[in-house]
Amino acid sequence: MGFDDGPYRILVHKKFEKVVRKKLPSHLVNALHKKIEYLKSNPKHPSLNTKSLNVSNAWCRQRGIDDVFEFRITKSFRCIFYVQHEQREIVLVFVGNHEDVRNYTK
Amino acid sequence: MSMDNQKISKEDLILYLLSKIEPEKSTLLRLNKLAFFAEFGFIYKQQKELSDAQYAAIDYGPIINDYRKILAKMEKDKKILIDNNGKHIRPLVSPVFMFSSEDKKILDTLIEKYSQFNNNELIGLSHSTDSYKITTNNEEIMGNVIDKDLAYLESFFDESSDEEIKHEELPEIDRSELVEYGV
Repeated sequence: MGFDDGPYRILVHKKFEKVVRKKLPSHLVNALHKKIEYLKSNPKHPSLNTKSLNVSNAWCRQRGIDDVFEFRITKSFRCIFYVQHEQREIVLVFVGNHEDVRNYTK
Repeated sequence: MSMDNQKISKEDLILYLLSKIEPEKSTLLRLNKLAFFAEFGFIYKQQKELSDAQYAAIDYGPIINDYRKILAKMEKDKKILIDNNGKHIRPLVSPVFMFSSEDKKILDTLIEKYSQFNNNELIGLSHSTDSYKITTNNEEIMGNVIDKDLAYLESFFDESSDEEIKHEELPEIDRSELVEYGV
C-alpha cells in the first residue's frame, strides 16, 4: 500500500528518543530532525529516499501495522518506521546503524 | 593560513580546484560543479565548512554564488587567466592556505572522485542532490542560495556498508510507550 497525500502523525517510542541522543553524532541529529519534518508533511519527499523493507503481510498484521519503511540519515545510519495508513500514523521505531538494530532487539 | 580554526577563502578554493583540474577540462561548468561537490562533501565528512563560498541553485544546477564577479576580480588581480572566450580558466598563482593532512586527504579524495565524471554526469548528479532539490523545491524556484546545512542530508557521500535489515531484527512496539513527535 502506498502513502496517501498530506500529513501523517509521527509517534516515537521512548527508546527512540534515547537512542537518538545516545547513538547519533550531533550533526546527524540535526539532519534526522529535518528529515522527520519532511516525513511528517510528505512521506514521499524526495530527500528521504524512503524504502520499503521486505516484511511479510502476516508479520505486519500481527503487529497491527500496514508497512515497514526506512529512510537513511547516512548510508550507515537509518531510521526505521512502521506505518498505519488508515490512521495516517507513522511510528518511528529505531534510529542507528545495523549493529545497533541487532543490539536493540536482543 | 591554517584551516584548523577557519574556513578558506572562496578565491583560494577556486585556485586549489584549478590547480587540480586538467587544463583542457578547466571550464566554468567543471569548476562550479567540483566546487559544489568538494564543499558539500567536505561538510558532510568533516562537519565543518571548507570555504566562505556560498552556492546558488539555478537552472544549470548548483553554482558558486556570484562566480562571475569573483572570477572577474581574480582575473583583474592577475590570479587567474580566462581565455577561449571566457570558457577556460587557469590559475596564475597558488592558494595561500595550509590544510591539515586529514582535511587535505578528504578534499583531494573528493576532487579526484568527482573529476572522473564528465560534464553531463556532473550536471545530472548535482541536480539529483537533496540540497538542490530542496532549495529549488524540485526545480520550481531558481536563484536561491543553498543552505550549507543541507550538506548533512547528502547521504551519497557516505561510502560505508549498506546492509538490509531482516524482519527478525525489527523492534517490537509497545503502544503504551508511544508519544507524539515534537509535542
